[in-house]
Amino acid sequence: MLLNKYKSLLLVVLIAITFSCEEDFLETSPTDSISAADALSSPANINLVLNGLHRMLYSQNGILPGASNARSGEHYYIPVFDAMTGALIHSSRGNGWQRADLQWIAHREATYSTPSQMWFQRYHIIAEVSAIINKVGADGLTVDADMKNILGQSHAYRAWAYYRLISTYAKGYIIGNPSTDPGVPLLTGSVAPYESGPRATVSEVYAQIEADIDGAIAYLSDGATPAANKSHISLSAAYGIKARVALSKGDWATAASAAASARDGYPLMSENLWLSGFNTVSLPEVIWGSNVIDTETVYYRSYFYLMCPTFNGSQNRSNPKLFDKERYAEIPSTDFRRKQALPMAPNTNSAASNGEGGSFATDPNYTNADDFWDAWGGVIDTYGMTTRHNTHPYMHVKFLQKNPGTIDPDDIILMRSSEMYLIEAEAKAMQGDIAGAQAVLQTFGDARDTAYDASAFADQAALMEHIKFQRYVELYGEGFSWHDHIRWDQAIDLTNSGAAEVLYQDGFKQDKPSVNPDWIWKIPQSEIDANPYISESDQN
Amino acid sequence: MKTKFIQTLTLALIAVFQVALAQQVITGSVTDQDGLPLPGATVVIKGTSTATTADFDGNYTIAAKNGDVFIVSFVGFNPIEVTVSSATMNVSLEGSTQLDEVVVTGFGQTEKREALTGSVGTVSSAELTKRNVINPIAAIEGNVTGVQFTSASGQPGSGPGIVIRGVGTLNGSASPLIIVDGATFEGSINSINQDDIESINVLKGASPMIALYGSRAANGVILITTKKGSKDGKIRVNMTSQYSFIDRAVKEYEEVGPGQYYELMWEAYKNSLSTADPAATASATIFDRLGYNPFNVANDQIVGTDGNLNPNAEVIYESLDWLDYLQRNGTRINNSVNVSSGSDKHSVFFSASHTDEDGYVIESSFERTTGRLNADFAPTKWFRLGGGLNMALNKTVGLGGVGSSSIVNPFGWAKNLASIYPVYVVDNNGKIVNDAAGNPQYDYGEGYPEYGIQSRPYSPGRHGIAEAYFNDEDTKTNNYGLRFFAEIDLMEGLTFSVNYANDYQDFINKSYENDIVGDGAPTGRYGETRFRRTVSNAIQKLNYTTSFGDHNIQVLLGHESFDRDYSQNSGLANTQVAAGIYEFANFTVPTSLDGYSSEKNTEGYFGRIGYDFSEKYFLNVGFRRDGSSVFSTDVRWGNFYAVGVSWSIDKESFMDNVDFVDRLKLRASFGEVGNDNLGDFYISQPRYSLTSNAGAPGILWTQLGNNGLTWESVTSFDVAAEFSLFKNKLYGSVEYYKKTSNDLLYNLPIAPSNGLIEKPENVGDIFNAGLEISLNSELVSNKDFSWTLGLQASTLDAEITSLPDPFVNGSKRWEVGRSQYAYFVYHYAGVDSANGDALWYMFEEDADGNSIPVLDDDGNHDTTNDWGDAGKAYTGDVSTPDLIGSIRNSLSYKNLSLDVLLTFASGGKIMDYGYGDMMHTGSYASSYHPDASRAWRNPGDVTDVPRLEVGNTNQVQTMSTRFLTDASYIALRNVNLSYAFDKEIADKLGVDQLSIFVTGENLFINSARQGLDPQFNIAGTPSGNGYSPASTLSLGAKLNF
Repeated sequence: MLLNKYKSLLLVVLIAITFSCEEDFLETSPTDSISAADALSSPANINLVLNGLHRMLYSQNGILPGASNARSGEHYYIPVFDAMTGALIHSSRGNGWQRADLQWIAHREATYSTPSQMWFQRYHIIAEVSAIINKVGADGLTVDADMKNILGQSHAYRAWAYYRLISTYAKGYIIGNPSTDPGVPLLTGSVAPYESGPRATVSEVYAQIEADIDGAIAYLSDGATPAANKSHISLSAAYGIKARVALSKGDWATAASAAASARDGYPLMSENLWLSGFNTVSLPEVIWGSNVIDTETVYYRSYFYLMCPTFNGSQNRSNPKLFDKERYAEIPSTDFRRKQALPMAPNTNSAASNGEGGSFATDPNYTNADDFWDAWGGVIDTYGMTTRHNTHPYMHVKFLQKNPGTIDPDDIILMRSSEMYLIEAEAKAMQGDIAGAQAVLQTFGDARDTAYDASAFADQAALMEHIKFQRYVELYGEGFSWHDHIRWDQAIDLTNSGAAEVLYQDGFKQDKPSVNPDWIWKIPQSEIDANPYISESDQN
Repeated sequence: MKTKFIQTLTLALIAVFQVALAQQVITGSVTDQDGLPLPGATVVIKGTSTATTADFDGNYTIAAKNGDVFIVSFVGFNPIEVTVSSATMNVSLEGSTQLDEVVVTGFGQTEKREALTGSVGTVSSAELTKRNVINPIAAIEGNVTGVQFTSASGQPGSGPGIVIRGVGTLNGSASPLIIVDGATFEGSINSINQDDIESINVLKGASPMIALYGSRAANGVILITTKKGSKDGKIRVNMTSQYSFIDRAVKEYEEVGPGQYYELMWEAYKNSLSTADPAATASATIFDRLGYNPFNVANDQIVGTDGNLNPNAEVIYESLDWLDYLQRNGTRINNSVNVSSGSDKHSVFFSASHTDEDGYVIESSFERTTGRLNADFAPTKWFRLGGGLNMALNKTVGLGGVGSSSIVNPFGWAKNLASIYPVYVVDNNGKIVNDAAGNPQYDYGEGYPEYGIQSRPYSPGRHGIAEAYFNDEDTKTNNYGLRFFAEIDLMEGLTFSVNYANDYQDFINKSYENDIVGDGAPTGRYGETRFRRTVSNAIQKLNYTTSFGDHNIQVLLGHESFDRDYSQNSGLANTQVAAGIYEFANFTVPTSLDGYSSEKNTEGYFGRIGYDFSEKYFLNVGFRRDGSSVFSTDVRWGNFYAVGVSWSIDKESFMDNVDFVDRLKLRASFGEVGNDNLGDFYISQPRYSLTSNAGAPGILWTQLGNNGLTWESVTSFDVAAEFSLFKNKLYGSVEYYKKTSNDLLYNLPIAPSNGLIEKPENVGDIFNAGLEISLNSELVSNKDFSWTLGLQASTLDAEITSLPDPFVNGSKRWEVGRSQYAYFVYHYAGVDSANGDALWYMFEEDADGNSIPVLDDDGNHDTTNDWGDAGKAYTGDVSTPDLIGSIRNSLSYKNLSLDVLLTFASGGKIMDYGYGDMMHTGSYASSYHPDASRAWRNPGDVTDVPRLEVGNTNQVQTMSTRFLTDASYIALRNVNLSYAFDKEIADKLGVDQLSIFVTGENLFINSARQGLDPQFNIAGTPSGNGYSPASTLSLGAKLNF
C-alpha cells in the first residue's frame, strides 16, 4: 500500500498542526495562591503568613474555607462578649444582629455560627503559627533579628488563641478545678491524619499558654526586629497577653508585673483623645489593634456596625447601644467619662424594646414634641448621624467613626494601657497589696476624674467593687465583660440596667458562672463529629 | 407566483436532462404500510448523488432510467431498495422500530441502534419541535429512562439539573459530560438554540463508547449534534416564530391573612409572658411587638383577651400582598430561521435565532441571539473537511440574593414577611401615601410615627422589592465556538482524521447596589466580574473498517488533549457620582480588585474495536488511558475500559416461525470510567491564599491538599432486552444496571481544631442500581387517526458500601448500608396535650455509634421537650424517589396532532424547610402558614402543632420528622397541539409546509403541599425562597419552503 504524495503531505501537515502535547502539559499551578512549601520557605514569606493572620482578625473570612463572613476574626466577638452580659445593651430588636447571642441562644447550640466560628478561627491561627514554629525548628533556619520577631509573634499568637479558647469553652480557672476540668484539644502542629486530640485539662492548656507567651517574650526582648506597626504583636502586647492570662488564673504577682511592663510607653489619654471615638490605633494608649483601611473594609460586618451609634446601617439607626443606667449613676460628676453616654437622649424609636419610644408622649423625659425633637436634632448634629438615626436614653457615644454617618471602616482596638492599669490594680488588690492597688488606681484615676481619690477604697472588697466599676466604665464595648464575669463569678441581672426583658429573654438573668454550666460555650458540632477523641458525652 | 415558476423551471430542466441522458421522468408516491403519504421521504438513485424528496402528498418526480435502483427512506421507516421498472414507481415503506435508528455515539462514530451494546437514550429533532425550552437539556426529561431532573429556576434562561442513573459521587460533580459536535462543551446549554439540534443522545452506563471518554464519563455523557446541510441539492428554509406567556408553575405556599396573623402572634406572645395576666398584657401590647396595625381599630384593641380578633376590625392597609408587586405577566418572543443546502460534495447549514423573555418576576429577563454555520466539503474522493462556527450572545437580567438567606432576596420577603406589612408607606387610614410627584413611597420599615407605624421587626431599613428595582444585576455572556475537522482516506477502509474545537465564553457581570436602601446604601456600590474561558479540544483518530465473510470489524485509535483556560477579574467600588451609570468611573472609592487564572489539562489515548458476525452477534471493546493535571505526577494517569456484547435473536433461524416477534435483542456491557471533576483544579496541592493586612501583602493557609489524591472510578454493569412485537405495534426495552463508584473524592471533614475543616481524600464507595423500562404502543394507527402511548419507568436504588466513618451532612448521615440521601434528623413525637410542649423521641449512641431509642421504665420510646437533648436518628426515608417516569400520549387526527407528556415520581421524602419556616413558634413579623392555627391552646387539646411561644426554641426544630413530606408528584410537563395546513393552502401561500401550534411547558404539578417544588434539589431541602419554576404557554407557527 502506498499513499499518494498528496495524501502523505496532507497527513503530515494535519498531524503536525494538531499533535502538540508538550511534556509539562499536565503540570499546572494556581495563580491565586502559593504552595505550602513556598509559604514557609523564607523569613520574608513567613512574614506574609503573619500578615495574613493580622488580617484574619478583622477580615471577612470567606477566603478561609468554612469560615463565616458574619463571624469573622475578633471584630464580631468583641461586642458580643459585652452584649451577652448586658454590659453593652441593645435598645431594640434592631435587624437581628447578635440578638440570638444576647438572648443566650447562640452559644448554647453546638451547630450555631457564634460558637463554631470562635473555635475554628482561633484554632486556625494556632495551626498557622504552629506550622511556622515547627518549620523553623525542623529546618534549622537562622534565628536572626527578623526571625526572632517572627517566632515571638508566632508564640504570642498561639498563647493568645489558646487563651481565648480555654477561657470560653471551659470552666473558669479560678472557679473550677483546673487540673481535672476538661479544656480544649491541645495541638502544637496539625499533622496527618488530622485526628486532633482529646480535651486536655484546663491546667495543661494554661501550661502551654504560659510556655508560649514566655517564649514569645524571650524572643521579642532579645534583639528582635521591632513590630512594624500596631497590628503586629509587639513585646508590649506580649506582656499584655501574659497579664491577661495570669489575671484569669489568679496568678496575681505575674499579672501585676506583666501589666506594668505592657503599659510602659503607652501614656494614658487626655479627655479630648478619650472622647475622640476610639476609632484609630494611633491613639497613644493603644498597644495592639487592627488597622482597617478602606480597601479592606468589612462593610456591615464590622465592629463599628455592630456597636457604633453613628454608623449608617439599619442596625445602628434602629438600635443604638446603651450604657447601663445603674452604672452610669455611679460615675462622679467630675469624671469626664460621663460624656460617653447620653442619659437624656430622646427615645425616638417607636419599636424601642422598653416600650417608651416614638414620641414625647411615651418618653418620660419629655413633655412636648418640640423639646423631644430638638434634643434628637442636637444629638444628630453633635455626633454626625443621619436624620434616619434614632436616639435612646443612655445611648453610648464612646465609639464614633472618623467619618460619622457613613459606612467607612474604622480601626479595632485590641489592647490598650488603661486595661493594663486596671489589671495591675486588680492583681495587687487580690494579693492584698492595698497600697499598691491604690497607687496604680490613683495614677489611672487622675487621668479620668479631677476629684479622684483612691484612698476611699480602703480594703480588698471595696477595691474590687471599685475596680469592677472602673472596668465597666473604662472598657465599655471593648469585649471584656463576659470573662470578667467568669473571673469574678458574677451573675447577670439586668433588672435596673435599662435592658428590656422582652428582648433579652434568657439573657436577662443568669446564675453565676460557678454554678451555671451555660457560661461554658458549646464545642462546635463539627468538632464532635470529626474528632475521634471527643464524643457527645464530652460536650459542655 | 415565484415558487410556481421555480417548480416549472425544475420540471423543464428535468425534461431537458431526460432528453440529454436518455432518461425518463419517473413519478410515484411514497406511503406507509397504511397508505398514508410520507411527505419528505427521500428517493436516491443508488450509486449517484441524484436524489429527490417526496412532496406534501408523498409524491415524487425524478429522472432515472430503467434498471436504476432507488433507495427510498424516511425517518422512522425501514429504507428499501426498488429497481426502476416503469414510469410510475409507488413505494410503500414499513415503519421501523427504534432499532433501525442511527445513533451518534461519540468521536464521530455512528451506529445503528441494533448494533449498540450499551445504553443510549435519544431525543430527536422531531421531539424537540414539540418543546419550547430555552435550555435544550430540559427536553430530555421524560424521554430517556434513568435520568433524574431537578427543576430549573424561574429565572429566564436557566436550565434544570440533571443526574444520570443516580448520584455516583459524594462531593465531586455529578454533572454529566456534555459533548457538542464532538468536543467537550463547558458553556451553558442555554446558548444553544434548540432548533439547531439534530439529536441529543444520552450515553449511560458502561457502553464501550462511553469508555472512550474515560476520566470524564463517570456521570454519563450527553452528545448534542447540531444539524447539517441537506445533500439533495435543494435549498430549504425553515422558520419558526413563537410567542409565549410565562407564569409561575408552582404556587406560593399558603399564608394566613392579617387577622389570623395577629391572633396567632397574640397567642405566641401571650404564651411567652410571665406577667400576672398574660392575656391582658398581650392584648394591650401585641401591637408594640409587631409595630403595624393594619386594622381600623385602636392599637390595644386588635386582639381581645380571648385571643380573638376584634370583630369590628377590618383591614384598611393597602399594598399588603407583596407577590402582587413582585410578579407580573411574563412573555417570551422567539424567532428562528435556518437554511440548509448541499450536494454530494458539500453541505451547508445556516441558522439565526433571537429570543427575548421577560420573566414572571419583576426585573428578570433573558435575551439571546444565536447564529450557526455548519459546512462540510469533499474536495476529493479521499479528503473531506469542514466544521462549524457558532455564536450565542446572552444577556441575563436578574435579582440579587435569590434563594439565599440574604436579606436582599425578594422571594424571601414575599414569602416570609407576615401579611400585615405593606409594600408602600400608608397613612392612618391605610391609604398609600404619595409624594409630591404623586408616587407611592416604599416602606423601609424604620418607623413612621406620623402614621402610627413603628419599626418593622423584620429587616428594618431594608425592602425586598425596592431593592430589586433600585439595584441592577445584569450578566452578559458571549459564547463563540469553532469546530474543525479534516478526514483523509489513506486506503480502502482506513481513515485518518483530526478534529479541533475551541469554545470561548466571555462573561461580564455588572452588579449595582443602590444608594438608597440596602447593602449599597448610603453611597451606592458597584461590582463587576469578568472572565474569559477558553476550552480547546484536539483529537486525532485512525479508523479502520473491514469485512471478510460474515465478519465485520471496525477499529478506532485516537489521542485527545483537552485544555481549559480560565481568567477572571472582579472589582468593587463605592460612592457613586451620578445615578444610572454602571461603570467604575462612576464610583470614586475602589474597595477591592481581585483576579486569578486557572488551567486544567487532560490528555488521553483511546481505542475501540467493534466486531460483529453477520450483524447478529456484536462485540465492542473500548479503552482509554487518561492523564489529568488535577492530580500529582505519580498518580495522574488512569486506565478505563468497557466491553459490550449483543445478540440479535430475531435473526436466528429458530425465530423464523415466531410471528409476533419483529425484533429481539439482548445486550450487556461492563466497564470502568472515571471522574476528576472536584470543583478545584488544584485540589491535590497544599496552598496558601493571597491576602493583605492594611495594604501589606499577606497569605493565609487555606488548603490542605493531598498529593495522593486520584481518580474517582465508576464501574458499571448493565443488561437489557430490546424488542418490537406484533408488527411493531409494541416496542420497547427492559434494562437493569448497577453502577458502583469507588475511591470517591471527598473533602473529608476534619476536626476544626486542626485549623482547617476538610481534607480531600479518596474515601468511600457507593452503588446505584435500577431497572429501566420503556414501552411504546401504537394503540390506533389508520389513515386519519393514530394514537401512540409511551410509558417509561425507572427505579432508583443507592447505597453507600464503604466509608471510613459515618458522617453527618446536614439533614443526612452517611453510613455504610444506607443511601447518601438517608435522613438523619430529630424525631418529632407530637404535642404534649397537657401543656402544648413539642415532644421529641430520645435517642442515644450505642457502643458502635448507632442511634438507638432511649426507653422509659415501661419500655416505651422515651420523649423529651428539649430537642437539644433528644438526639438524631435515621427515619428510614431518603430524599430520592423510588420510581421516576413518564407517560406520553401522541395522537393525530388528520392534520391535527396532540402530544401530552406527563412526568412523575413516586416515593422519597422532602424536608420542607419552606413550610417549616412558616410554622415558627413565634417570630415577630414572620409569616404563618394556615396550619399554625391548629396550634395547641388549652390543656387537653390534641393536635400536631405545639404551643406557640415567642423565643422558645424547643418548640420547633425544622430539621425534624415533623416537616418530612412525601416527595411524590405528577407533572404535566409538556403539551403540544399542532395543526398542519393542507397542501392547497400552503401552496396558495407559496410555501411547502405551514403549521401552527400551541405548546405548554410545566403546565401543572401535583405535589403533597401547595408551594412545594418536589424537584427543587436531589437532597430534598427546598428553602422556599428561590425563584420558583416557570410555566410557559406558547403560540407559534412553523414554515418551510
